[in-house]
Amino acid sequence: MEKLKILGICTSGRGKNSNTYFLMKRSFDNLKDENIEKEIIVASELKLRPCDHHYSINARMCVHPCLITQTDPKDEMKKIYDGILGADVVIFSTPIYWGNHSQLMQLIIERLNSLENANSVYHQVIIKNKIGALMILGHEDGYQHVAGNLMNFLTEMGLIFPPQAYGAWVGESDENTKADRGKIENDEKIQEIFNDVSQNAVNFARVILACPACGHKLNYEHISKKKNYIK
Amino acid sequence: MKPKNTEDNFEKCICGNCSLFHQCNKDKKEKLFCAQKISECEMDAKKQCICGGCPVYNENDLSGGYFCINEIKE
Repeated sequence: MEKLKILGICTSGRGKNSNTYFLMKRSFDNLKDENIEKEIIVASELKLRPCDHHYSINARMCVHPCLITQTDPKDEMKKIYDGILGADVVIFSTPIYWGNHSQLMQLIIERLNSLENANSVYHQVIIKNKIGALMILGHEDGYQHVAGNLMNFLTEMGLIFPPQAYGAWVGESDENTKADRGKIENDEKIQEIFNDVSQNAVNFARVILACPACGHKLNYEHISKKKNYIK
Repeated sequence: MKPKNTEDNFEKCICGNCSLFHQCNKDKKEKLFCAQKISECEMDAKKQCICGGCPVYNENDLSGGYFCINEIKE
């Protein structure tokens, strides 16, 4: 069986101390398949420059590799680009802050625009036959809104989301965030849900890898966007 | 394709309006980097490049940017 690469990208500003990381790590650890290579990128440990929005000057300036990646050796977004390009499954995890995904997640989305843009401007499919999934964690509410927002971009970028492609945990409507870790650690149902997210994504990736034509065809183009592009 | 290093393109070039462009570039009479060569001056790539807004860029179907730092291969 072909070895499969699963990449997690944790976008909590609290990095490895976060509940978001804890849930993702535990889910990955529980994947016992020997034919899986696992990696988690902790985004807060990288030096990531915010997007310069060259796209708004001219869409053809937003290319892969991104102009920041090309010109700033200190910027470490390349680790995320290369990680995604080398993976079969990409799972993003984010906390919820005031109803939205983390600012690190937003920074990464804007930088990933160069991968999405390769399709809409140059008709190059860079992200294909890769499975996406999400892990979302918050204290009060908002996970469906966050999931919708993230899927909107990530499917445009080219990831394929299987059914029920996200797991979420939200705490109560109070200020006592200190109790969250204990609740998460001791809740077997939550563990099961997050394990399923990783396992489902892996299972779906195996199907796509066995039958690439079942996913994006090799020459898939984002036809709906072609008409929007004016030289 | 690399643009032609012509007087016409030199006139159209907007490098002089760019935030990266500074006194050293003026002193060396540098401009139209996409058609000539990269700058000999120290350029600050953290500033916002405007190559994509230039007529020379669009007329020649260029992509990317920072041509004062990134050379266009023939």
